[in-house]
Amino acid sequence: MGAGDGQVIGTTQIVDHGPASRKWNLVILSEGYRQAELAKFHSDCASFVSTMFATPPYDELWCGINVYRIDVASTDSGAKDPTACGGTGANPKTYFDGSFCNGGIQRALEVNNLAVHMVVNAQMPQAHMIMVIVNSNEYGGTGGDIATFSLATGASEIGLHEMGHTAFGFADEYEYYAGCGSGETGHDKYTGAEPAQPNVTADSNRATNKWRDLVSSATPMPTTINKDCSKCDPQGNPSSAETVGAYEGAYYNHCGAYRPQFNCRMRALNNPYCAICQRVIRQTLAPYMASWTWGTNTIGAGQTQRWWLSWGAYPGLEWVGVQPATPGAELDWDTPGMQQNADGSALYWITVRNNGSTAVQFHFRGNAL
Amino acid sequence: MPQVAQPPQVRPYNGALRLTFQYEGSNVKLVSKQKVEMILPPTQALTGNENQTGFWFMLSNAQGTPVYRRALHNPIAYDREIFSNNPEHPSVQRVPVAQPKGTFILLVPDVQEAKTIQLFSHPLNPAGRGLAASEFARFDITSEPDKGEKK
Repeated sequence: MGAGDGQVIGTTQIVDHGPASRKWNLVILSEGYRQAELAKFHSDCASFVSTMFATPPYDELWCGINVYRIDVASTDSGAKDPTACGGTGANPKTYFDGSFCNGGIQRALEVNNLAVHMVVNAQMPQAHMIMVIVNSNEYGGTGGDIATFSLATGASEIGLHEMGHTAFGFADEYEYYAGCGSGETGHDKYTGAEPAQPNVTADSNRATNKWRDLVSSATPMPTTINKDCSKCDPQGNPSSAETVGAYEGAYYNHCGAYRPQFNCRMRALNNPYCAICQRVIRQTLAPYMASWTWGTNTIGAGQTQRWWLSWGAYPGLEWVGVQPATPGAELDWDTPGMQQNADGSALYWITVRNNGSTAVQFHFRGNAL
Repeated sequence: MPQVAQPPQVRPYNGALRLTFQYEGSNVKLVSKQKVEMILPPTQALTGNENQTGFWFMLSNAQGTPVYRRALHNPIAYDREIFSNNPEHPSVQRVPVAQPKGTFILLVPDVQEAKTIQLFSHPLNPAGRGLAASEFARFDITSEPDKGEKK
């Protein structure tokens, strides 16, 4: 079983926004597709890509993303489905040994991630994120270093949730470990350290909370309180769906840990990413966009100023110009300049003119090289 | 009078090392190192994380000064995430893994000053979540793979 049960056919770029060296690269591999079924894999890949493209904020960041498909043909079709978990007993010979019933749980569909990494390292080492689509209509998938999901309705949501973990470092926002009705113990109240992840916190203090800049002064902090920490909070959302605050119940605990919005894809599938997750995705993918913002300043009314920037390597970036952040404001600027210093670093400059009657905040924009 | 702009707070990296690790429990081994031409995100804050929980890696120079840090979802699967499309079940839940074992990749900037990579995590079990992270493995990324120090 394993790599002897098929072959790597090759790699195809299916979303092309530029060279892999400049873009954020998603790689999708096939598992449990016979060679004659690879056209179906191509269609399944295209379907996932359409789903991702329709998912904010990937839609607005699409120009920074490439997608590659690695065709891997298996001897047999499908995935192992052990009877121990109530499965069919199917035992196909597949390249990545895809199987349901990992850990004794039917829906836990996993592949041999070492074998996947070996193929990716050889075929597309510029991958930032790896997914495997398993040719089975039975619902299943799992995450970790590689997102794996089947073809069942809704299973592509697994890929989007896992991408949140693997590519952007998000924590789980759900307020339980095994489930709200599981009778679980040890998850009543979080008393631990502040999580390093950007989308959960133990700090509901308005003055120090890590996403406080997105919390309106009219929003109570904490925004919800779970009155019975022995179970998940049954209350509905007291705010609008988009309100950012500190909702009690997150990071596998009924109380003591907070999530930034009532719902998020990192709390339950089939929700949008919350505002904090979307911001981190935008920040992470900014360097891969054709033009990205790398600084902000303000120029007073009627002023002309030259701005200088040193960069550690030449050429580190190319200028695009400046973009007013103030709605309706306009600025003039001259042709940007750059020179290489003797130590190999670079010096950049641009002259900005504000012919208006009010100060204008603006962004410097450039392309990373 | 010319003004000096602030250095950009987000500086992406051109050029990366693709590091492949294998683990069994908390025993981690660096098994391959591959130079790759690709952009990586800028570093996150190098200090101020000492009492936090979670997982992150840090690159340091020969003097031990941090040069790059990224916090990630823990790549060591001491529990697994289970999904459901049955409305009677939560759409996502977790179950412990009895014997964590697997492979993961870290993408790190290929910068000349980087000498070591340190891995930080809370204790590698579900009950360890919430405890402050500490260094649990360190590797010399200038040496050949599989010769790094293991803890």
